[in-house]
Parts: sequence; structure tokens; C-alpha cells
Amino acid sequence: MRGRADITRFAGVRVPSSDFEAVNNGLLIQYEFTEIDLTNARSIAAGTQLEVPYEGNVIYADQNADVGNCTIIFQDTAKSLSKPARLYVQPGSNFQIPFTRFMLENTAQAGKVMRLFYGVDIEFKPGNTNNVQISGTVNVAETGSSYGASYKSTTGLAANTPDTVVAPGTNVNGLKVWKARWANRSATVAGFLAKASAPATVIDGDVIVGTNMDQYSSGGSASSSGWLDTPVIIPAGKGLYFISTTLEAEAYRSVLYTVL
Amino acid sequence: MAKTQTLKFEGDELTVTVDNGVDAKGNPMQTSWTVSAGQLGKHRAMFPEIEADNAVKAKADAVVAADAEVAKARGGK
Repeated sequence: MRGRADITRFAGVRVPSSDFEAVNNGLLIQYEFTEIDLTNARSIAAGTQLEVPYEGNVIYADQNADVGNCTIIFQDTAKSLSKPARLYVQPGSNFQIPFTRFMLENTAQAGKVMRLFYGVDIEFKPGNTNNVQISGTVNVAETGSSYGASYKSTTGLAANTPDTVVAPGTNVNGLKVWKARWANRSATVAGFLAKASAPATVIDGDVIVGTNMDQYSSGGSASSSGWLDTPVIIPAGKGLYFISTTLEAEAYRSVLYTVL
Repeated sequence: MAKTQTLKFEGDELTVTVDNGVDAKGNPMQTSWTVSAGQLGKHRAMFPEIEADNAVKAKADAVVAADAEVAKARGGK
């Protein structure tokens, strides 16, 4: 038998990763298979287990719809029969365990078989063609968001004079705004805007947070507030600003964000 | 508008505070940013005052360098 270095090479064709020399010489099998009817139950306790005298170090259960399930105890003839634990085998199961024989137990499964492919040094990499389905109630736990920086201010702004939360030059790869909220007095329309330069009005840019609530009192004073409904990513190149149409007598605003 | 600006590290987290005096009711008007170690490098251009204070600059350099090492160890850029 020639070694790998002796294999004739063709231009543009690499040496195969699997040892076809050994396969061609009958020293390695590609794979064998066996099909076991699962109609009747088998168990060691009842003395009805199936003892299969096959050897290999890889075994794979077919994924066809007619394949049921079973448990297997892989064994070597030199080992005790009672020590190894049962391995549950279902369609798609893939074990890399050396064995010279195995014992099979199964519940009665009418119309089902266990179709096993096995061999030596074979890598079974079955694709999963099934859809993943989740049944029943799925509980979703709110884990919160991990922000990288925060902004907060109690500085009342003059009319149409923006405050820079994040400068456009800082936003090179995008800016994720996790939370943003504001409240003020004496200003009825305000909000957070995204823009590549400082905005001049409350609509001079992309409105990230507008005014959610206005409140007027009989005395003529007013207060308003706004909050971000869901996290948003501001495209690269745009800064985040806050601006108000009128002078803010009192102000409170905050932002949790991450520069991407 | 800004009157005074302070930069303070708490651990590796930098807080930049701008003091804008008080409002009509006498309440302090402040604006501040708190930036984590992982975000400090991206915020340096926004706060050029970092470079003006030698102690703050040295700390910022160390934090950014350490964060870069962590990112490198995690396989990031």
C-alpha cells in the first residue's frame, strides 16, 4: 500500500482528506447499515434485548420518518455487560464510541424501525432539514439592556437652542439609544433629534423622541414630557440633540446609549 | 452657556459634568455624561478637555489601552 506522499497528484486537485487508499484496499469501509424492527419491545430485564455483533467506532441513526427510538449499550467483548449506561438513540443520533457489539432495548413501536449506519472513522455530519417548533408556553424573561454611556441634564435651554447629547463625529458606526426621556416646564414642544449638524427647530432632523404629553394649567404655565418607545439605532454620521421651541424654566432629560 | 466643566474618574468610568448655574427657582442646572471604559475611546473627541488635564489624560490612555487589550483577548478588533 502506498503512503499519502506517493499518491499521484493532478494539477488543481488536492489530496483527499479521507484515506481512499484504505477504502479501495478494503481496509476501511465506507459505511454499513442495519435495520431493526421496533414493533415488539425488548429489554434486558425481560431477557429480550437484542445483541448485535457489529463493530465500529461511529454509529448514526437515520432521520427518516419511519425511524423510532431505542436505547443502546455499546460494548467491547473484553468489557462487562453490566457496567455501561444506556444511551438514548433517536433519529439523527450520532455517536463516536468504539464498540465490537452493542445491546439494544426498545419499547413497542408499531410501524417503526431503527435504521443504524455504522463504520470505522467515518464522520457523519447529518444536516437538519426539520423545522424547529416550540410548543406550549414560552416564558420570556426581560434581561434589560447593557448601555455604554449615559447623559442627563437639568439645564433649561433657550428656545430653539439645541443641547448636544452625542456629537455627530462620535457616531462613526451607529449609535444605539436604549432609553431617552425628558420633562420640562414652560416649554410645550420639545424632543430629541438625530441630525448630522445642530438642528434649528424641533423638526430640523430625525425626530427620535417628540412630545408625548402636554399639560396646561389655568395659570398659564405649561409642562410637557416625552419618552422613547423602543430602542433605536441612529445611523453613522448623525448626532443626537435635544431642542425646545420655547425657553425651559425647569428641565429634566436623560439618555442611556451605546456608541457602536 | 457652560460655566465650569469637571472630569472625574470613578474606577475606569469617566463622568464629565458641566455646571450651568441655577434656574429661576434656584435649582442647579447641570449636564453630565458618564462613559464606561469600553466607550471612552469613542468619546474622546467629544470631550477635548480630557487631553488638557495631564492626570485625566494619563488615566484615559490607560483605560483605553486596557480596554483594547480586553477586546483583543476576546477576538475583537
